[in-house]
Amino acid sequence: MARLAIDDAAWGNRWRQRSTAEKALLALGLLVLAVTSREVVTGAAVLVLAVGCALVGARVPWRTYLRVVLAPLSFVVLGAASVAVTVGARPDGALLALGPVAVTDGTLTTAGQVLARALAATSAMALLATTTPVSDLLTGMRRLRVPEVVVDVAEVMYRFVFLLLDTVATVREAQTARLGYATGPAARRSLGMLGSAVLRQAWTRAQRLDAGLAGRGGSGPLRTLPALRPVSVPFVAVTCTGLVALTAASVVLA
Amino acid sequence: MHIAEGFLPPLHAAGWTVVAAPFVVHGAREVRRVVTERPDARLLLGAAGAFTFVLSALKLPSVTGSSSHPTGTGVGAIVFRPPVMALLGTVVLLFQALLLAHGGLTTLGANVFSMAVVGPWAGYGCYRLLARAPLGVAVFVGVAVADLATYVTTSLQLALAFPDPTSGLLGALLRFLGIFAVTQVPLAVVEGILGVLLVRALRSWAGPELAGFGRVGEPGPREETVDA
Repeated sequence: MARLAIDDAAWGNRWRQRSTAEKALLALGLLVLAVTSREVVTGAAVLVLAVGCALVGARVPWRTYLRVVLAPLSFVVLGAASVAVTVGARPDGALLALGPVAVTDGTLTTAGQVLARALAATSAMALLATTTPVSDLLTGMRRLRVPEVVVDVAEVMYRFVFLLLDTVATVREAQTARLGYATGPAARRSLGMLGSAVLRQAWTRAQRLDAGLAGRGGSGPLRTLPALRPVSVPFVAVTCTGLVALTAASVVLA
Repeated sequence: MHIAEGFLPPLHAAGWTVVAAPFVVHGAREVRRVVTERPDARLLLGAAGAFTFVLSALKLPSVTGSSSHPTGTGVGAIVFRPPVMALLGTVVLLFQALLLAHGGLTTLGANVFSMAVVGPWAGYGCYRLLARAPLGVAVFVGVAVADLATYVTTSLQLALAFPDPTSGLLGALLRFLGIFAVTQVPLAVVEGILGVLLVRALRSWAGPELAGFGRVGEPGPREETVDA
């Protein structure tokens, strides 16, 4: 069965049995703080707290966590590099200038802020993603009154994603063994075939599942009983205190 | 092209979420209507969403030697129409953030607007305009335009958030367009070709289920099945 590292961590960490509400409060609280604060110090505090909770508290494998935080690296670095330069008439006090492209103090500061904010926010989001399985989050969304049809389609999708990833892995292995990715044109042709094969699998599996369910009288959403996980009062109290303290500190600093 | 978590300033992130919300709500209504009319569409939509997710997790080798992730929303918009794709695309983007760490929760609104709203509508519009052209041409242009519209929208979102101190909004826009053109323009061409192959494959064996889903589902002259 195909697996995704983040999903594995979400199902197998020490915080798996905690209530979704607790984890969402902590991670989303940190996320909001990271995005709204302008101080680099707050960003660093969010980063340390998120990494600490994930690695020490929830015992998420550090390789997985690091990969999540570094996943958007190419976009962030390219984007920040683009923010760090200015194009056009040469501004006063340029630190570095090359033709129409220049780097100034102001653009460097903005780029640094963006980098820090993106890193802190990604670490907070990673805390939620690596400690809470998608199915728990969908159950939580249902409790928040997100329309049933949306949650239902998302649940079917979550089921299918891993089936299709399996198909992709199998087809890809077979194609690679036949030198399907040896050259550029061959790779493009192989990918076209791979796409069609996976699409066909998705389609026929959905039909067969539908026929099977219809034959058993199933016509509505595939509801399951959510596990009962009481919210831990100490956890929420510590989280709230920490978040308020951090907010106050960043306001004072600003 | 996903904007990473925390990359946009808070006001921009909130603003794009507000802009994208009505399209997603409209999409949810449309999905509810489709599912009420044809209960079997529920699983098909779920499978289509999962397929979009899996497709976006693949790396496409581009012409320039770089590789990038396909968007997958162009084909979806042509087959299922843009409103349905707005909802499916939103869920796919949420999954990408949570399972692959592509994109993010605070930038979900901005990404939904560029990838699940503007891209599908622009692609679908071109596809409809080419109603008299051969289906392959219409699909290719539709999918490629969906990708390019997404790329231009994302660059515009970035330029609005980070205007150039000397040359202003336009300078920033050109800068972002230039930097990401390296991966995005070849990607649009490759994904257009992939889209044609996928729609041909769909037509050759999924006709009955696609009835009522627009021109792709019409019983046309049976074209050649997928060669290759």
